[in-house]
Amino acid sequence: MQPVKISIKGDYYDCQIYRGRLYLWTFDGSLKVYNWNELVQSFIKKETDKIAMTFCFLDGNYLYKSSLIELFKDSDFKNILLQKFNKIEKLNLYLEEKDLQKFLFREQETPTGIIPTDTEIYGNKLYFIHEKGLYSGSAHRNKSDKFAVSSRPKKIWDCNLLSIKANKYPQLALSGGDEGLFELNLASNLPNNLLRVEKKSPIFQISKNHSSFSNYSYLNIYNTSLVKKSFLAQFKWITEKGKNNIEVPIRNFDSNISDKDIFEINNDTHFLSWGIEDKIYKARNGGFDIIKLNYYADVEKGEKKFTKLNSINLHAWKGEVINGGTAYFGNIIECENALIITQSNGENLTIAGPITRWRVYPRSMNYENHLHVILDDKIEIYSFNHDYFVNQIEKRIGIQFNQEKHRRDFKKSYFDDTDESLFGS
Amino acid sequence: MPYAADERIDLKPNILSEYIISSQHRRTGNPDKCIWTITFEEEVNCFSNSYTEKWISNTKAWGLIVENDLLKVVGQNNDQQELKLAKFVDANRNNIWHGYPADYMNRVHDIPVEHILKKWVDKKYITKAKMNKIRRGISCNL
Repeated sequence: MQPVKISIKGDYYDCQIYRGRLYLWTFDGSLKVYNWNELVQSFIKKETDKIAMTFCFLDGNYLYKSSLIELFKDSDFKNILLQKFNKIEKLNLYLEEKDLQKFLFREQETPTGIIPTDTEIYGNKLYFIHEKGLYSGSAHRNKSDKFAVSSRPKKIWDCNLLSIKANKYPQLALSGGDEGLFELNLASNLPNNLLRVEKKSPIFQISKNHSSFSNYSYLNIYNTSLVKKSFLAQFKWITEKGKNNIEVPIRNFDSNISDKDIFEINNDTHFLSWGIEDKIYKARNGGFDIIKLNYYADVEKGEKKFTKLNSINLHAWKGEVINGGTAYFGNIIECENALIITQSNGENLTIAGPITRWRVYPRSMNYENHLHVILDDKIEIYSFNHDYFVNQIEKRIGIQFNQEKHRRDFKKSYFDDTDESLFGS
Repeated sequence: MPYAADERIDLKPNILSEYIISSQHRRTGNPDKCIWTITFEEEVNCFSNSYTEKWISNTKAWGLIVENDLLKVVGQNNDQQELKLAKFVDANRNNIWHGYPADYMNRVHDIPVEHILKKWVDKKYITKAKMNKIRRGISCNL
C-alpha cells in the first residue's frame, strides 16, 4: 500500500502543520501560512474521493477509533476503504507556487528575521530556536490579526540550541549540543531536584551530556547524541504538599540509563539511537534493532523493562544513517542521500535526496499519518494509511497507537463526527 | 615572508585587521582544541577571505576553502575526524583575530550563523540541505 502524496513547488526551509494551517518557512526568509483544509479540498473533484482524502490529509486520527478497528476485521469493509485509498494514490496532487497563492492565509517575514533552526507549534504558540536563542510567540491567530504568528516573539532563553521537541505534559525538551539536555517546563508544579538555569523562564538542566536531539517517551526523554553516548532520562511522579496543604503531583528527575545498558553493548563504539513513546531504535549497518519499553514491568515477576524485539534488515540502505525518527506509521531513517520509511506493515519507501528537512507529527490530533519532506525545490506531504489495519499491540515498527489518545467526544458515525467546515459551504 | 605562530600578522593594506596563528591549534594532544592541517599561509588566506567576504558576525567569523569546487579539509578534531569549516574570533574585541577548525557536530558554538550559511548556499559552496544539517549539528558530506 503506497502513501498518498501532495507536492508543492517552492524553495522551503522548514514546515509545520497545526489546526488546519500549513506553515512554510521559505529560504528567502518569509513565513507563509496556508489554509490547509481549503488546499486539500481543492483536490477533491469527486464526492467518492472525499472520505479517503479527508482521512489522508485532514483527519488522520479518525480511523484508529476502536469501533472501526473492529469493523476492519471484516475484510469486505476493509477492502472498500483500501480501494478508496488506492484510487487517490493514483491522483496527481501537485501545486505550483502560483496555484498556492489562493490558499494563502497570511505572509510575513519570519519572526526575528532569522530562519529558525527548529520549530514547534504547541498550545497556539510557536516556539522556535536559532543562534540567538529560544523564542515563543502566539500562533494560530484570528483572521482579523495582521500576522498569523506574533512578529514580536518573546525571547525565552539565549542558549544556542540544536532542536526542540514538545510533549503533552506540558514540556519542551531542549537539545543544546555540548551544552547538554534541558527542558522548558510549563507545568504548574515544577521539579525540585533539577537545576533551574534561567531565572525568568522555567528551564531546567537535565544532563550535561551532549544532546543532538531528543524526544519524549511518555514522561521520560530519550536523548540522542550524534557524537557521544545517548541515554534515557527517566522521570517519576511524586506528590508533595502544596498550597493549603493539598497534595500536588510533581514530575521529578529520576535517573539516566545509557544506550549501552539499554542495548546491552559492551564496547564504546558510537551508534545512533532514538526513542519515542514505547520503543527505542538503534541503527546499524543494514538495518536497526528495536527495544520495546515497559515502564510498568514487575521485575520481581521476571518482567523486563527493556525487551529486544526482532531486528529489521533493509535492502534499501542508502549510505550512513545520519538521523532517525518514528511515527505511528513507521520509522523514518535519514541517510546521507535518501530518506527511508520502514512502514509498520513491513513495506519500505525510499525518497531520494538531498533532503533539506523532514517532519512527522505523532503528537498532533489530525496529522499523525503525515510525513512532510522538504526537498531542494518543493515540499512533499505524504499520507500513510496502512497503520489503521496493523495490530497495534503486536507491531514492531512505529509507535503503538493508544486509544487514550482519542480525546474527542465520540459520536456514532463518521458523518456525525466530521467537522463539515473542513469542506466549506 | 613566511608566517610564524603566536605573532601578530599585519594584513594591511588588504585587510584592516591583524591575525595570530595560534600554536595551540597546531599541536596534538589537547582534547579541547581542534588542530589545523593546512599550512600557515592557507590559514591566513582563509581568514582574509572570510573577512573580505564579510562572513562575520560581531566578533566571530567563519570560513572555508574551495578547491576544484570541493571544500578542502582544513583540520581535524581530537577524534581525528576531518573538519572542513573554519572559525575565527576577535576574542579581545581589538581587531586581532585567531582561528581554528570548526567542529560543528561536537560544539554548538562552532556552528556558523544563519546569514553566513545562506551566503555559502547562494555561492553554491554548500546545499540548502547541508545548511540545515550543519545548523542542527547533523553529519553531512561537505
